[in-house]
Amino acid sequence: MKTFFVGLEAGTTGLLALAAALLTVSESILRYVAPTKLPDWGAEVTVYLIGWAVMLSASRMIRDKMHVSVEMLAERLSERVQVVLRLFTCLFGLVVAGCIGWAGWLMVDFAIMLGERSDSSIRFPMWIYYSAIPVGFGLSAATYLWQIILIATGREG
Amino acid sequence: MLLTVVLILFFILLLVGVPIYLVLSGLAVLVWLVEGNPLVSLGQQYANHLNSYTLVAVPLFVIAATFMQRGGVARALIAMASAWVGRTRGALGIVCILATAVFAAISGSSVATALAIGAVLIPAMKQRGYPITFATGTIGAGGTLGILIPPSLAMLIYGIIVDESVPRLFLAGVIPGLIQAALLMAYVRYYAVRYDLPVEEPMDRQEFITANLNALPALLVPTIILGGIYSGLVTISEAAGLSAIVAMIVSLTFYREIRLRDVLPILADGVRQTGVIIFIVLAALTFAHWLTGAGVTRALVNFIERMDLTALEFLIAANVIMFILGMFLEVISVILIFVPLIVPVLLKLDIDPIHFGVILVVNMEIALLTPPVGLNLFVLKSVADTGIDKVIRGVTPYIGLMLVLLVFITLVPSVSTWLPDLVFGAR
Repeated sequence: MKTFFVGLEAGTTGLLALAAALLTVSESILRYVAPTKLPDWGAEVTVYLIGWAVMLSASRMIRDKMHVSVEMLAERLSERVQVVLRLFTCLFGLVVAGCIGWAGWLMVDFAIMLGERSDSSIRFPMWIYYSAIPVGFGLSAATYLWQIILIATGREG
Repeated sequence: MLLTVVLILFFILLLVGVPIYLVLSGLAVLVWLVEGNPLVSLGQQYANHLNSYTLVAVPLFVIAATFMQRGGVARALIAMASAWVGRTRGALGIVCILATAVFAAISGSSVATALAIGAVLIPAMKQRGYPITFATGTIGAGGTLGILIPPSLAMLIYGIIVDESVPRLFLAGVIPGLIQAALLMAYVRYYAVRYDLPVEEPMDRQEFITANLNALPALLVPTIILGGIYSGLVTISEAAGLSAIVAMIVSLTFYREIRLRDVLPILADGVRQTGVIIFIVLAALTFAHWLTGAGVTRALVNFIERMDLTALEFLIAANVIMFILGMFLEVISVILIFVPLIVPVLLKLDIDPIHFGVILVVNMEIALLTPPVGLNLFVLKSVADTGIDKVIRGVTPYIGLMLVLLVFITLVPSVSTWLPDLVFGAR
């Protein structure tokens, strides 16, 4: 099950990034080969694709301990204190990511209420793009919660 | 009062090991709630900062670097450099600087450069009897060229913050980058003669031609990036997309060190590496938005006015602050925390943001080598499988050389501004 979700995350973010790269390349080629066929939504959709790809990776970044932190003090403390600090970090992460995820959800709700759409010809519904923020921070909050459970039950890897 | 609390919390949270993006995000949430701003506007800030076409270039450059790192490009560049300078004493040291300089023109990241070149060259240098301190020091210092020679992720992010032309910034790094490479090679040469380091076996004509031909596809990537940007054919983000796709094709079809099934995981890995940066960018810009709104940047400008600092005095003070910050914080974090605060001061003192950008990046190169949080130190420690003390001893002479370069570019702005002014016209 875990392998399936890890593969799904990697596959989805990889595909989104590939689509973004291909879209930027096709834009630069079309501009010289067939300028009349150049869509007005290329840059906009590239931003959406990358935004979603980054936000979908949020959970994995936490699990793989990729986020940058200053560890020189924490590393010098006893193992017991280090566990307490990790627990604090996860609690802090849960609250902060939860707040930003909630703020993002309010924005999505607001965009749906206003029927906000992009200015380009595709008139993209902005709530779909905005949803990346609550999804990314929601995944982060869930990951911090899971890590709290692991630490509290002594199953931390 | 709130500012004092925020500053104290900032340092406490950092010291107890909370990730930087969480510290900045947490403080942004705190000030938002304390000041009674609607939470929906916080979400809007994050979405607005993410909605940047220039920011898109960051993951695409990192993806290109990841393909190049894993796809056999480093090996080809090292073989080419060896073909040219192999008969020099301490050749592998010179090869290292040349290969890192060319790889820097592909990757935009110091860590990727040190990792890619170090993984191939450190075992070779060990085998040929080079001291491990010298090997790790040379690769660590050469690797820092990744953020000075264009393209540069550090300059890209600085350009976004100060709203400055990224192509101009990229060009501004070329001459300082070449000077740094020359300084490093001069030291390598001095060390090689003094400690009688070996020369390499001569290559016959066929080997020489093969080594050069093999490197051609790798050289295609910087040609596309820089040629495309400076001929005006493509934007920064399009150049990044092109380099990602070309790097993928070259790694798959020419060097064949990766397979088709590796493509999606490499792309996802590139996104994650960038995600770490983007999460800090979003948090820092949102926090900076509050700092500006709360009048902190204005207060700083007033303070500089009262101190009656000249531009040079300010640059010296800024260098000291950046050097200290760089010892404790990761490069992108320093840029995102420090730069938004001082942009109004730069304007007030009539300091060219292009000149300051290069000063900042050289400081950040030094930050990559200074303990306790120099990322290149840890990369080299793991690649060379040696003690961090040996790596630190190895990079120390190079830090001295880079400080000389820093003083030089601080005192002589034209070293940074001459080339962009020549290409784009003086401002």
